Amino acid sequence: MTASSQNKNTNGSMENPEILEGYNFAYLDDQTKRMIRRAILKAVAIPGYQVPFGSREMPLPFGWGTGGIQVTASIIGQDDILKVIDQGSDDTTNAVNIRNFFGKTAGVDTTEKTNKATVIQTRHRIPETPLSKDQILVYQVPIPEPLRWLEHRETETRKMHALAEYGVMHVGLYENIAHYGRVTTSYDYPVQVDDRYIMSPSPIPKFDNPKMDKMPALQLFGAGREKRIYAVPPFTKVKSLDFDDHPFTIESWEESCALCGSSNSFLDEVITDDEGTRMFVCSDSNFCKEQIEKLTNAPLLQNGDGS
Amino acid sequence: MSIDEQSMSDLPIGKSFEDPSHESQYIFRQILKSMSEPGRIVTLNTQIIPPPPLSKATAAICLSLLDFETKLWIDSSLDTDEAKQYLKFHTGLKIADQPQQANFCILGTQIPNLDLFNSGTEDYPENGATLIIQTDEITDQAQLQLEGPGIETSKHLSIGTINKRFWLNRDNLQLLFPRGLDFIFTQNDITVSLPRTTKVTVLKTQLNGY
Repeated sequence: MTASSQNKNTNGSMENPEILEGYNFAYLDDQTKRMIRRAILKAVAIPGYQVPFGSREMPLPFGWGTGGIQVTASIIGQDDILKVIDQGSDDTTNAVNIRNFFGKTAGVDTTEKTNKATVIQTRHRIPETPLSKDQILVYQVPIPEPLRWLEHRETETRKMHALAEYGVMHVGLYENIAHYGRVTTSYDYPVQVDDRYIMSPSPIPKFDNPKMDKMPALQLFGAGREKRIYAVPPFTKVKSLDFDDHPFTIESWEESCALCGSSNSFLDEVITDDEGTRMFVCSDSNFCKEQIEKLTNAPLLQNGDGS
Repeated sequence: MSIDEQSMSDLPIGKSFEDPSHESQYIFRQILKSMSEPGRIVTLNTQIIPPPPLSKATAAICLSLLDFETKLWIDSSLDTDEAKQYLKFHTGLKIADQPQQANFCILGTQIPNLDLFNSGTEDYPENGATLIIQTDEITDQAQLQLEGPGIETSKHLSIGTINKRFWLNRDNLQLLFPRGLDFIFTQNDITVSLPRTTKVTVLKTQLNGY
């Protein structure tokens, strides 16, 4: 397989993977893309409703973001700038590989900077930097059906969504409060979209749920194994389920980030030695880096990302 | 040496995408933008030359989204052999005899009763059809006020000479949500979308002339 070299240094692209020849642009064939595009348009027209689609076999196993990749492959164009994060980080295995995949098959520019990206594919986080109009956030979704743990039959959950029969979900949350005194769900916390469909926000921490509400960017969700695509258009009401006397709350930390000192970002706890010493750092690596740059007023890394 | 007369006459007039993969992607992204921000007027920059009476935008949307898996119904006012031949040749789509069978429909401003179209079911609302309506004017004048998902507060829009009955018809259809029809209005190379969730208030009926 011959490869042509790519040399793009604009827009903060970091890697210059060689474009593989012999592949369709962004891997998928055009007929598949059209089918996915039609599903995406219907998903946008019916916010929060899971549209079935003919999920294809991808060159990586289900569970590694095949749904998100198929959505990204169907929307991405030559002028797009792609950012991929996994648990907030740009440099974890899943993020690096998906970014390289699109670098190799589509030759698009990639970036770590949230505000420079036009398409952001994410696994399990929403970036701390607020997203803007004309950006698209693509979520990788393992289980798209929020009612699945309460009702295993697809025929039944489909009926429940059709009739907006969501009592069982509230009973589930109520039982949680009855047992533990609070809702213990900390990630994949169910939301209601535009006062109609109950939707799984994918396994993002509930810390990120408020960011979905009235977000100026378009949010697309792809579940490859479960073969579902759903969407939240910009400026759409997204409400986390709660009760009047048990309002929805997000996580908070007594610590602040050990690297950048941020006290309002989502923190990961990191064990640093065998003695159990631990530190808390921002889960969003790009946000953390930008905070440090602001503090030191100088670019921290010189890998082509510094401006 | 000589080209068969019969097969020559089968070739459609006009011009399709020069680079189908990338141009389809561009057109789709513009439609996605218009569908996710109802009332936002979007231009489809394309070099295609569709046969009349198809507008550039109508043809580009069909070339980008339709294939052998979709059924298209064309209203009699726009239903010419050239148009059908062009779309069938470049996309491989199937032509529906009845509007009820179609996933996509192309109409003029004389819009029939919306009951004629497939609005999906409560279980599978995505089967509701997409109606592409060719109109004579699309501007952001205050003829209609739009609210709903994709719109920050509210937006103004004016869509040529659509009769008032259409808007009443659409209001009634919205009671059946999640069932519904999604509309894409086109004029020359511009387009604007009204998905089933958008609430439309008619501000100035006199602009319509009905």
